Amino acid sequence: MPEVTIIYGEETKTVHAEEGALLGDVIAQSNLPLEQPCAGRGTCGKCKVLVEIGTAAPDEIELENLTQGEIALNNRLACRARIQGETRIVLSPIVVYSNKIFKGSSRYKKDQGIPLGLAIDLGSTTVAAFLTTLDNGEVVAGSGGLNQQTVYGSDVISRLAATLGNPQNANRLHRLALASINQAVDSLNLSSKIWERIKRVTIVGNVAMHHLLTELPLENLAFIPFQPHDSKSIPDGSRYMEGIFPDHVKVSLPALIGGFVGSDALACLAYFGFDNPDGPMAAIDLGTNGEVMITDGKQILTASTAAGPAFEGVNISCGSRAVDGAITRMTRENGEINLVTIADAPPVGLTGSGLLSAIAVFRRAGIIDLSGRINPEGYHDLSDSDPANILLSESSSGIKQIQLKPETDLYLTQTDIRELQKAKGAIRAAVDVLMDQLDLSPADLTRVVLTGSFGGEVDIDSILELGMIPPVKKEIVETTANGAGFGAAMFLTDEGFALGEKLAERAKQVDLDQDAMFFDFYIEGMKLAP
Amino acid sequence: MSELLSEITAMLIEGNFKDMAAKTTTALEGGFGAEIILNEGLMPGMDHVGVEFKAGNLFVPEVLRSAKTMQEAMNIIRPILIESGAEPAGKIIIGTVKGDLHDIGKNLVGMMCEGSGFEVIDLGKDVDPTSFVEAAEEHQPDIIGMSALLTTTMLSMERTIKALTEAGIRESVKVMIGGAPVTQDFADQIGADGYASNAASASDIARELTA
Repeated sequence: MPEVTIIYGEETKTVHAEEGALLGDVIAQSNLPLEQPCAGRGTCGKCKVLVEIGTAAPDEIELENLTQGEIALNNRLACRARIQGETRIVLSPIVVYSNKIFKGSSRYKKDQGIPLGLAIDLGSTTVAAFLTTLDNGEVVAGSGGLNQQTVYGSDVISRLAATLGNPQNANRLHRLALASINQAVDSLNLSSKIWERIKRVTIVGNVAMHHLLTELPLENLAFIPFQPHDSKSIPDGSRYMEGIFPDHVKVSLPALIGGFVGSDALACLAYFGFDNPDGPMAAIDLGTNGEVMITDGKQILTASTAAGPAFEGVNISCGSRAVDGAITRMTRENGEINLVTIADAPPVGLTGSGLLSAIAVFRRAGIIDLSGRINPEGYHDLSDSDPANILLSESSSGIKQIQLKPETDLYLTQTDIRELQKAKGAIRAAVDVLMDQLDLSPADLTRVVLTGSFGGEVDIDSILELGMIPPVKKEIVETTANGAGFGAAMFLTDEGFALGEKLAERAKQVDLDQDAMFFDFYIEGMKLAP
Repeated sequence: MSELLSEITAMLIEGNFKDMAAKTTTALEGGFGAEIILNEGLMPGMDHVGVEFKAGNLFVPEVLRSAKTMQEAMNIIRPILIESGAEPAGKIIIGTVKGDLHDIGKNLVGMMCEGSGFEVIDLGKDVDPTSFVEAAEEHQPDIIGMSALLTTTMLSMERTIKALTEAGIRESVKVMIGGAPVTQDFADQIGADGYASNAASASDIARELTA
């Protein structure tokens, strides 16, 4: 009986199966996770796996349910593929979702002569694809899915660690990146006519994503000096694509800036106009790895700062990803707390933006002090609220906690507040270091842009009150979702690509670890005050 | 009579580093021995800070301020302690391992251990296995503490333990490890004697290992 090896991140199971056995049944035997909502009829396409070796050729039904890109990558439907000889397959994480994130003009549908391009933002968590009309550089549709590399860990460092001294894993992460790109593109539902019009693809991402995609050596990035192996742009990157795009498509990978600051930050620089700003400005891409970009009008400085996953609701006791019922904002009027949730569903937990706004509300009410401590004495000097509506208690392990809202079984704990303080302290310290090196004071800034999936929906008042960014006028702060994706769309044309090259040359990456002031700024940045 | 010592304890918890040197001098002049000031004034304060830090009630900035306050007092009483031949609770060598230069956590561990009466020798960051071995041979510590912030760099902890074994000194020293990606499982796997998830627990573990 042939041997079947099933790989799910760092977990590997080997089972023996009959020739001709259904791959899905064999995976089920291994107890590794596999989703089969259509019960193996071959219609839903959720049970896609990556085959490394083995299995019989796909039948008609299977081929109909796979895209050209998936066929090129040897994606198979576990419910249709049959064992043939020694087999080795890689499973994707079970939670693979995709959703529309942007819809623009439909001009490209009417005028079928307009050439098109695809801009891909290969994020550590989310991979997004943006369809762009090349004649005017306009993004017309955007869609995204989960980065399937998360089976090797949600943080990029774990993924780098998985590849060190293990070229097989390196190749798996490379293929999982391509599978994620396939999935993001597939969720745009492009017809074969549209595919014929797609001439170009650009892919941007942080340095780890870029190097994992291109299988560049990772030692320099995983250890001191924490720098890319090669930061140059790759104008023709088709050789890394394993044929997932048609032959007539030119794939390019813009330049990286340095350290962990990648081509996604470069795309932000382009999209926010750092090449020609009206005055000193800052942009922050908020995420597990926060990128901070600041210019005084001449120099452009960038830094990457490890904010951790708090902004994504991870490591927060009542944290939640952006699912129905996740709290995105909290307000308090006349002592009455109001929770805003996704799809108006009953509250299930706090997203990153919900966490920020909850802490700002309780800070305003005097329940949390400047140092971030839940301070019951704050009760006595509340002037603007009715303390009876805020309930303090202790968790079973003796950690102080605040009930988010009466009759809601959700609590903000002292530890949650500390997680947020570390995250926002890291962002603030990076901003302060770059401002200090450019000799800028907050009043000099004429524009501050917050971007990232978290940045796009965040409450600016909370950001300012808690001091995540330096004290500036609220009017100059704006939030934009998808800054990196829209910038990547600019790089689809020759002029846009040239602009990227120029910005990559001008932008300098600052090593925060080497900056003498970083530690002091970090400690100061943890305070919950502007 | 011990009012002065209680004031020192309170000052340490508050993080009042500006007034600590003067208060320590007053205590010495008032007839309190350096060892009494350490054991009954400073250490109860640092204990309290450790407990409150573990509960999340105090945070990194407050602990640092307390540690700085501790330093102000130690600068004055350390020479007297050495002169009088008072034994420290133990000797610890700490460092951030090779390939890594994150040291905020490691520095906190050093401060908390010093607050528990340990003599702390800090090798800094990006410390390779050989440097740990050489420092251990030179200083004869009770404990070696290693820190790493990254999943990638924590692997050099195992290399350091191997180097200690090869140098024939693994049996004469306890090894404790910590840092964001480190777990008790990982500590067991590489054969470390102790693991702590935060700086306050680290000083508890250090005391257990030297008990």
